[in-house]
Amino acid sequence: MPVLVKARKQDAEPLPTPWFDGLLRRGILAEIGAAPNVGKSFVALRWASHLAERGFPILYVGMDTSLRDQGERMFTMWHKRTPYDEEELERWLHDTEIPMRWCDLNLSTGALNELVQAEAIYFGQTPALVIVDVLAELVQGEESVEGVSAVVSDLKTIAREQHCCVVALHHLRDGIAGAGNSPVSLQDFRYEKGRYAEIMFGLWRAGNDLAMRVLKNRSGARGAEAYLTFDPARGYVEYSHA
Amino acid sequence: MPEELSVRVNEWRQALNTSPLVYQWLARRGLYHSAVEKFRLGYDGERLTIPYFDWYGRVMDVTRRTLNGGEPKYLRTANVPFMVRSVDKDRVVLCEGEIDTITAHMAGLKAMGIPGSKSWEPRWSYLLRDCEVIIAFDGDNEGRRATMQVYRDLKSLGIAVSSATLPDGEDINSLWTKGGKDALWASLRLTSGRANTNA
Repeated sequence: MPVLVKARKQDAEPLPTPWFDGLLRRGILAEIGAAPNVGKSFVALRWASHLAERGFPILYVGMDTSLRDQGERMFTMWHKRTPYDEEELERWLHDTEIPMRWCDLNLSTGALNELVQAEAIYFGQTPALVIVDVLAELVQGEESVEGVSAVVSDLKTIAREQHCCVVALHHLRDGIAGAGNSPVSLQDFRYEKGRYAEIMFGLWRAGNDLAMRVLKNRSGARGAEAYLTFDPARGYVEYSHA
Repeated sequence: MPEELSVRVNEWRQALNTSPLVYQWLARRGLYHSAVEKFRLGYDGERLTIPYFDWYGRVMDVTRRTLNGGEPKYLRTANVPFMVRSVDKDRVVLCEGEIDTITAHMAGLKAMGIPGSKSWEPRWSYLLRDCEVIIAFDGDNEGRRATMQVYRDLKSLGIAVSSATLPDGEDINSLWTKGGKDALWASLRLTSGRANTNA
């Protein structure tokens, strides 16, 4: 009997997100490319927050951000304001029961793999979403084509073997005119142009909003756009319109 | 599967209530009703049952410990640390075995247990990445050997770690039963002003 329906990549568990809902799935590598200070960490954190509120376990690996700063961003996003003082932040981080964990260690991809396995023990299941903030920290010292390929390939392997969605935040290459304020293309990504990741997003400022576009989608359509209202002071990143 | 296991854990919990001999065994180790309640200990008719819970409070696994000196001492299906969720940003006592871990919690300490001195896996270091760790394995050769390995692994990640060398032949639970909280804390070189109580 012929096989009528094959198991497909998109059959992996989709993850709910406030925009591009269901595009992220367990078992895939996705990347968000943006110029510095555009807001890619906030976007990733917004997805993480949305998932954590719904009970999905999350691991946020912020290799160029201190644990304290990661926590403050999360607090701000959760409360729509910055913490009154250090004590309030500490108390919230200590007492809040959300399935989200942080790491600010500098890691190799091998160490990241072990960290994800350890977090699976902590939660009782593999994190649904692993955010790598930023890819450059993993690539450091390995900036040859082969070195970068090995790192990104490892991330894809972690996603597949650990059954989690890895979202790597990606710097753009130097010298792009109007970086941050003009649409991002795959060629603008500093390291990976789309060989490994299943999904790649570009992120840029569009007036007072952020614009996010699906630049690559191995399992479906690309080109979809979402415009986001963004207020970093209040940790506010919400879908505005398509 | 977790639902089935959860039902069994509740049954074993009830069975323990009607097993005074098991309660006596626990009492000899200084573990009273509060420990039974807090850790949902039970009795499967032959062994003490100690459930493992995930982040969501679901039963993930159960260790069975002999009560009459029979072998093997422990029956386990998975090699994972016990009470991983007590690990956060505070000081954590790293123990050997579930009974010592429960004992440490009863003494007002945050504690995580490894199944045995030979069971350590280096990747578990990441669970302790934000902690100040006191290794308190058994006062025997195996315990000291494991202490050295774990100490090296934790140090390599930059984790603040110290070891409490327990007296020969002693472990967390024996110190607790002989001298109570004061003796245990003294062996760990702790003072009450630095406690991370969660009991």
